[in-house]
Amino acid sequence: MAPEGHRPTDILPGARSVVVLGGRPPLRGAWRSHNPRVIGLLEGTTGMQGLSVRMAAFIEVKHGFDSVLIPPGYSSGHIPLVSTKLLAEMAGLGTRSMAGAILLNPSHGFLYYSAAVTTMPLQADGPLTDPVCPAPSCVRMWEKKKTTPCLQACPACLSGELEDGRVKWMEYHQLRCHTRAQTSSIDAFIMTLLAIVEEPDPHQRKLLALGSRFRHSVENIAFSSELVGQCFECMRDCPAGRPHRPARPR
Amino acid sequence: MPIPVTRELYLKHKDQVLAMATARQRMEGQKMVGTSTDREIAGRLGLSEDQVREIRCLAEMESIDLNWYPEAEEFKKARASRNKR
Repeated sequence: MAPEGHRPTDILPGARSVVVLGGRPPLRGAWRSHNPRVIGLLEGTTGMQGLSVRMAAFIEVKHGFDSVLIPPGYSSGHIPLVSTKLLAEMAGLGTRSMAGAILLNPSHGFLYYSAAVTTMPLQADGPLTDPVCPAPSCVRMWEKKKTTPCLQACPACLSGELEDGRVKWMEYHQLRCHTRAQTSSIDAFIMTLLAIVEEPDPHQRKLLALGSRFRHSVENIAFSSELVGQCFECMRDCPAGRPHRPARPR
Repeated sequence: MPIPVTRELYLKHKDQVLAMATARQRMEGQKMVGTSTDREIAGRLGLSEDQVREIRCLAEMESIDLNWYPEAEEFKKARASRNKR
């Protein structure tokens, strides 16, 4: 499934299995907050990675097989070394959605994922057979309005079409999404840094360097806070996992 | 250590590299289609994997408009403000 150079065996020679964990979705209070920064304070990915590190250690100590965390984040630019999303999909934790192919779990909707690869042979669960997306209410919405909650929420990042109650096609603008999901993170920092260096006007240069936005990015990087997951708007009205989120005032 | 990508090489290949990489992703049914790894792109364009990686990284960043960041802030403020109702 994964291309050469991006497989678990590219991380751990002799790898036989990958164990994938899903969890730490946004708290209900974060969904309810009217401050958009709050939902970015989850540290969901960090928490999940810690769990997988402990799981890998457990496999090594208790069962004697080599194990290691699948490296999170990117290997270069905006591409991961190994796609945890693909691993979670193959493990049956969810299926790809109209919302930028975000995996949706049948019970919980959006989740963060982390994984550990091991030389321990384990029986695979295998991918889910029925796609979680679209939900029946999204199919009805499509039939009436030719849109879905996620497409309606974020037409800048998403486009797509349903056909016969299934996703026909979906297109996802990854870099536009990055500016929303990581508004004050690494990309914003290096983009602004270049703009500062290239700005010929001293006053504008000061505004860029000492203004609130650049400072926010620097603070986030310095404190490892709000680096990812700063936007969940395509998920906010998604029916998948709705019972775990508060109803949105209409 | 110099990066093995001249300005001419970058300008010649950046659009092709960006189009084949993951900047725009397409799913048909449940299957992702049309994206390639640096190694695969390198094979098609006759470049090294290192060259493709550096071209892609620069092209990805250059295709981001700095104005998208304040726009993102306003978008999220507007969406979250619905919770005040």
